[in-house]
Amino acid sequence: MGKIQNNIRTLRFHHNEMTQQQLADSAGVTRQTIAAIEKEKYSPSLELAFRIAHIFNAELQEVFSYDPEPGDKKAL
Amino acid sequence: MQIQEKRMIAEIISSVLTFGGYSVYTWHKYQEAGPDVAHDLIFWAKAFLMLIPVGVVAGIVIMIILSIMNKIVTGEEPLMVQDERDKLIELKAHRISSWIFIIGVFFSMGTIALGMPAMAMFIGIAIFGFITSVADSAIRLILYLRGF
Repeated sequence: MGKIQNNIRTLRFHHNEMTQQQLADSAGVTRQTIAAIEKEKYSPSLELAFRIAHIFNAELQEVFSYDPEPGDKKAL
Repeated sequence: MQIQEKRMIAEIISSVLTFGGYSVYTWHKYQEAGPDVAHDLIFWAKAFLMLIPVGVVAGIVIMIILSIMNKIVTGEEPLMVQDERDKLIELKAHRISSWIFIIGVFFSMGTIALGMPAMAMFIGIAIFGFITSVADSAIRLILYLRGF
């Protein structure tokens, strides 16, 4: 199965060096959840992903990307 | 180590200490009660019902001590809310630990079907309750550490 990747850490840095806690407070989750998302140990729900993208004033695909495994079927 | 991981370790330690301590206490009472107590439903029902509030109180006390110690050492505030990740981990752990408890109840009923005394059923349910509690916390700890 493929993996969801993100560049939240970079985006935080470019947004006034936002801390994980500040992002967590804005997104309505715990700091630990933001840390887990950045380390790719947790894939956020669609709603949370949209909320995070909205905080950075970015599109969803600018924040998250999908990396399919070599065995995954290609899009039709 | 994150606060949730510390909480899971504290829960495991709490379960082991509570169940171990209460088992020793019940064993002493069993020895005092005499040989007929193996078939005494009232004795075992009381022992089993007492385990529940003892476990709850011990768990609460240990969690309060953990929160205070964590605040003193790290300055971290205790987490008062569960977000989506916490709830998902809890659901996944409950699903697996529920199966463990169901298997335990099955085996405990089996002891009665095999003609063993009532004591065997109560002890079986208590042991599998303990295993379920430890497994639930251990699974959540693994999911917090490893991710999913």
